[in-house]
Parts: sequence; C-alpha cells; structure tokens
Amino acid sequence: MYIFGQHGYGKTDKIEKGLETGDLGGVIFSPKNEKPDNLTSYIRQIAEQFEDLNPTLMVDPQFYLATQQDVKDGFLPEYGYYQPRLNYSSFVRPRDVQGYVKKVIEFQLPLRVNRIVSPTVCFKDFNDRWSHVSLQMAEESASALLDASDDRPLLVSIVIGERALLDRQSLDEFLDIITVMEVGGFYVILDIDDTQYPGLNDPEVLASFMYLVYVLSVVRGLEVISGYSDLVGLLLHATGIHATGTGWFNTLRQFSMGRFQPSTGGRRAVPRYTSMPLLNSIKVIPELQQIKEADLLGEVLTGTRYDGVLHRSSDIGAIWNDQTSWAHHWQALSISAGSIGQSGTVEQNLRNLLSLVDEASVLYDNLVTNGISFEASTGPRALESWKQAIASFKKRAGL
Amino acid sequence: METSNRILQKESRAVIHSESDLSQAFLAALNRYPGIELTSDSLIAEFASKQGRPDFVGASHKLSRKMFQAGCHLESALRSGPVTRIFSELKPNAPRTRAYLEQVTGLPDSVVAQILKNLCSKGLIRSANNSSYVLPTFLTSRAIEFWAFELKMDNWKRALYQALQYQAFAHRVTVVLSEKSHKRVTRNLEAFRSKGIGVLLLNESNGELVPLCKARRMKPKSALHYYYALGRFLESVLTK
Repeated sequence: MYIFGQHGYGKTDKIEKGLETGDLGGVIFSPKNEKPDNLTSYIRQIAEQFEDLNPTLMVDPQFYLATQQDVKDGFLPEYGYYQPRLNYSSFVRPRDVQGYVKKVIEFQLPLRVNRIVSPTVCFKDFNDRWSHVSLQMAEESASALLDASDDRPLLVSIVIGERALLDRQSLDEFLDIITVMEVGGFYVILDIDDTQYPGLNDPEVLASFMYLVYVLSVVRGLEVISGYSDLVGLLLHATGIHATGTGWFNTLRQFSMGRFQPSTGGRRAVPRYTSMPLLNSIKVIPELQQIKEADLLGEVLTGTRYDGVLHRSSDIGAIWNDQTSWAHHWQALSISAGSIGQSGTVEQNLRNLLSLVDEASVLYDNLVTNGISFEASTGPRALESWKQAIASFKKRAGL
Repeated sequence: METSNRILQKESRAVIHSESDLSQAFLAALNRYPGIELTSDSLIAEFASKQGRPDFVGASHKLSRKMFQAGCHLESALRSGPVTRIFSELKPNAPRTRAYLEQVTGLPDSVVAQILKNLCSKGLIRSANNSSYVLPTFLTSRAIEFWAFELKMDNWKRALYQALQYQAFAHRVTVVLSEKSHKRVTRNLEAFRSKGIGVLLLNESNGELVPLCKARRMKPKSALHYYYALGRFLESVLTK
C-alpha cells in the first residue's frame, strides 16, 4: 500500500522530500529525463541517502517509446538500449527481440535499483500483433535475468491502451498467459485516451483494471506496481496492489501516449488541492476559495501537514503554490492508500472505499447546495464511475 | 419616417451565430451602455490572467502619472513569480519585515533580500525603517480596478465558473450571454447574484445590452493574482 514517486522533468529535491517525510515508499526513475551518467549517479545518491528506509528503487526503461513515431523521447537516444522509430518488422526475428531485451536488462544490472524492469511495447488490443511482441519480451526478460544470475525480482512491464480493457474475454486469456510466468511481479501502465487531468472515468475500464490487479496480486500473489495511477490508484489499493506511482505535474500523474507527441503549446496547470473527503483534486481558485468563503473549509480538508496554512491566510491563491500542492498530494494519497488497504481483505477494503465514496457524494451535495460551483472534472461525476466500477469488479471477481 | 425607423432598427439588429459574433456585438453595444464606465477601445481581449483567459478585461481608472512612470519597471518586476509573491504580502500601512516575508513566502533569505533591494531602488516599494517595507499607495489594489467579462452563447454554468475564477484578480466580473439563454439564466440568476457576478444579455433585435443583475464591486480575492494581472495589463498598455 505504497505511493511511489514518478520521476520526471523538474525534479529539484521533490523525491528526496517525499522519501524523507515517508510519503513515498519508492521511486520509479525515468531515463527520458536524465542523461545516462546523471541517472546512474542520482539513483546511487538516493539509494545511499535513504538506505535505512530501504525504498523500492526501479527504472522504467520506457522502451515503449521506441515504437512511436515523432515522439519526444528526451535523453532516451543517449541510452545504448534505446533505438527510436522501430516498427513491427524490427520485432519479427526472435534474436532481435532477445537483443533489445538483453540490452535493457544489462543496463539496469549495475544500477543501485532493487527491482529489474523488463522492456515492453504498448498495445491497444489484446489480439493485435503488439500484444504478442509484449509477451515475447516478457518471456525473454525472464530468461535474460536468469542468465545474468541476478537475484533481484523481475517486474514485467505491461503498457495497455485503456480501450483494450473493455474486451473482457481477451483480458482473461491474457491473464491466463501471464499468470504462469515465473517472474517477481508486474509494472503496469494504462495508456488513457483523454489527456485532460483527471482523464480516466470509464467504469468498465476501471473495473477491468481493478480485476487485472486483483488477479495478479491477490490470486497469484505477485508484486504489482502501477505507474502514473494517481487518484485512480485508490481503487487499485482496494484490490491488492503493492504500490501506485504518481508525480508532481499532471503529466506525471496519468499516462497518455499523447503527452509524448510534439505539442504546439499549452498552459501551466493551475494549483489544486487534493481533498480526500471529496476523493478529488479540486482547483484552489475558484473552488477551494468558494468553500473557504462559505465557511466549509474544514469539511474538505484532508488532514495533511500542509493544511494549516489554509486557515491562516485569506489569500489562498498566494499561499497554496505548486510546491505545497504536490507535497500535499503525495501525503494525501499515502494516507488514503493506507486507510483503504489496511484491512487485509479485498472485501473489507472495498467496503472502506465505498463508504468513502458515499461520504464524498453527500459532501458534494452539501457543497453544491451551499452554492459552490465545480467543473465537470472536479465535481462528483467520478464518484458514480467509481461506484459502478466497484460493483462491476465485485461481480466479476465473485466477491 | 416609418421606413427610416425600420431601416434604423435593421441596422441596430445584431446577428449572433457564434461567440465571435457575440464579441463584436458586445463591443458595439458597450459604448452605448451607461452601466459600465469602460469603452470598447479600452478593453484587452483574451487577457492572460493567472487562471483563465477572460474574453475582455478593462481598467476603470486611467493609469496615474506615478503608475505610468513606474510602468516599465513594474511590468518587468511582476513577470517574476517570487517578486509577485512578495508584492502580494506587502501593504501600504502595515510594514512587513524581511523575516516575515521570508517566513510567509518560503523564499530563501538571500532571494528575499535581493528582491527587496531591487524593488526599493526602482521606487516600487518603500522602506518604512531599516528592516521593514510597505507598498506605495499608488500600487495598492485600488490603484487600478479591473473589470472582467466572460462571453458565452448559452452555457451559463461554464460562464459562472469562469467568472468565479476571474474574481481572483478583478474588482467586477460580468458575464455576457446571448438572449437565447434568457429563460435559463433568469431561472438561475440567484447563483450569479449571490456571488456578486453581473449578467448582461445581448438583445439581437436592437443590439443593446440588457442588464439582469449588476456586478458587485469587490476586492480581488487574491493579491497574488491581482498583481500578476497588473503586470500583464501594464505590458499590454505600454506596448500599444
């Protein structure tokens, strides 16, 4: 029941602070955002500085970007294992696949990480050829690590397009294949269609995601880590996930291949407050501002060490800045993941979560009655999706 | 006479098929509207506030001579996040010490010291005594009062939400809707009135603005957002 920091652009000392406060239980490093030497020394620095805490340290090789055209791949081309603009024909020969896998695994071996992560490709459909490549790479990774005689657990990467999870039968068949792999666990990323934050709202996609995590972690007993999961990660914590990753920018909190395409511009994200009573990240202005003016601030506060400043100043637009926002967000997720997942059984976890969802619905009603205006994404829309997702998951899992 | 009246009415008629049409009609109508002391040529379109882009922003006072003289320095100073943050904590009558500013902003003392020194040297803040600082009166939030306008064809809910954002920096916020939304907006007028947001409808038949409720003059909710907007406003005015 951990939150891992998703490393990315503009790290400054965020990860160190997250580990020091105990809000983070691990780090998922991003080669795209560091030169190879810098990444190696940064990982070593974190490993040494926090040796007593023994956080999980792992690298996401981001090999899935190699098959994307016109992609912003940052420093990845400087890594020996990465080859840009690969297409399907680059994966037809088994020895080519073995070659890619071996290089990715070998790159990680000298690093001070305590998990080895397999390379993968992104697929949008369980029946498309890329899903077969993904399985091939998973198998080859297990062999490569065995050959290297390294004891560290292998996490098999899976990057799936969200629409694929709507195909239940194919998901079941895929799970049948991967659950028999002799690996330490899985690192799962869901590629969502909507690049707006928060983007993932389809209850059937959420239910399938929960089901995938449940089968791998509870039924199969494997370590499952989900990257870029953010608030949706709370659903996964109810179904047994070991850890969910999230970063400081919106683009590090949810994954979309769209974010790696060259962009024509964009606006800076506005500061948000993650309210666990609302189970949502609301905008400081105008939403939290309205709530404070209506004297209802206490109803929405999460209870992190950062909340105090909101009582002391009327200009919350000034005092709640980006720095406070991400630090609070991590602690908020950490507290919530802990409280949802602490019960020990998935049934009880889901009961805990459903009661939080019901309380959040009532709170939203109360706020709206008191004249608070929300946007579609910051309003109660997601709660209904979560309720439906939980019901659908329970039916599927026979709980 | 009847024929010329009909011709006059036709010429005043506004044809609104899009928000762009609504903008044009609003600008034409604003100059005739007695309830707002701004003219269309004083408005800035698509203003980049710290949060959101109001369709139009105007200032209800002309720039004072002191503000004009300070304009270039102020505009470039207010591009900096830390400087704007420090500005937002200063008052004209309650001196703030350097230690206080370091504590509330969380900025390192060397950064705060440097910023205060620069701002003093440009006359943008005053030293009240050796270690505390005040804003000059020409730079308080009363110095320039902003009006913000959000135009929507009929999505009154979205207009309301955006208007609430603009209250962070503007003294008066008004939503302008096409008359097609008259019934829906009237049913929900209390949502605007209770928040002090004005509502105007654009009458297509005569091209005039019809007030449903008046914008209440309020202090901007965030000094930080206000000073950011002031910087952007000065940038627009000084580069015209």
